[in-house]
Amino acid sequence: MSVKKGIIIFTIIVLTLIYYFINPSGFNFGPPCLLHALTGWLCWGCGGQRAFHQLLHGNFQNAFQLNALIFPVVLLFGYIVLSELRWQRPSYQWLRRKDIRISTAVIVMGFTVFRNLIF
Amino acid sequence: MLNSTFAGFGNRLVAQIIDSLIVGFAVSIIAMPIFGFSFFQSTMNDNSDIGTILAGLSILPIVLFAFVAPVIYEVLMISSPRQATLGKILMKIKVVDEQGLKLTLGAAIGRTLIKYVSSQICFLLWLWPLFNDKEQALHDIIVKDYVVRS
Repeated sequence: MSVKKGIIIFTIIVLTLIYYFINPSGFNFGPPCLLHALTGWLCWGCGGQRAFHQLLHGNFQNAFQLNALIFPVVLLFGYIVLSELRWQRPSYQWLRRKDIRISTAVIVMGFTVFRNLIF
Repeated sequence: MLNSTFAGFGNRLVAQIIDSLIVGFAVSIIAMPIFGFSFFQSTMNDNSDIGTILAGLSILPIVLFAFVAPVIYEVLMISSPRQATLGKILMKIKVVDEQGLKLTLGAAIGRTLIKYVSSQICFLLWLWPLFNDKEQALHDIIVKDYVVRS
């Protein structure tokens, strides 16, 4: 196994274990959200770590309520990890298509606006 | 003119993980004696103002160091003849300007500061290289550099 693949697998295992056993609600993982601190608004990432913790425990409804984007993000990361493990030089050309980039931007921005208007 | 193959998102990500582990380990090695001093102070039951101030001051350098060390490390390595941090060297990638040459010290400072400041705002910005053909992150676009295979 190459160094690269070893580090990827090691990182995935460590992060999964950390987020499974430690609930981010009780600990400060990483820096606070600047947008939230300054405006009170939730950015597209707010709640993501807590959502991941809930997802790992099978609490899909809680995960969705904390940050609905956790599902496509986890799928995307899973695709990236599998691609990097499977191929020496994976191609992400499909992510660079104009329609994909526009759709991603619309979904992320729309989600951010929606979650702050509704809640 | 740039005549190299782009590094690849996976290689960049793994290089960053390696660098984070290296810097974290180095900071911990330096932090241990200082935290030990702080712990010793607290165990002496010195609840005086002087004792409290000393304990706080002993932590301040390490907090500053923990924030500054990764930046200094990356700036010096990127602007060196290797054009790469240790993580990037291991992954056989390097940072180049539009002509394929080494970044200047100023460009390396700008790149690194933008990288770490933008990560404080939203670390998901590091996913940007996935979505553009030149695999540039925000800090690469602003400084006009590329990460390529060595």
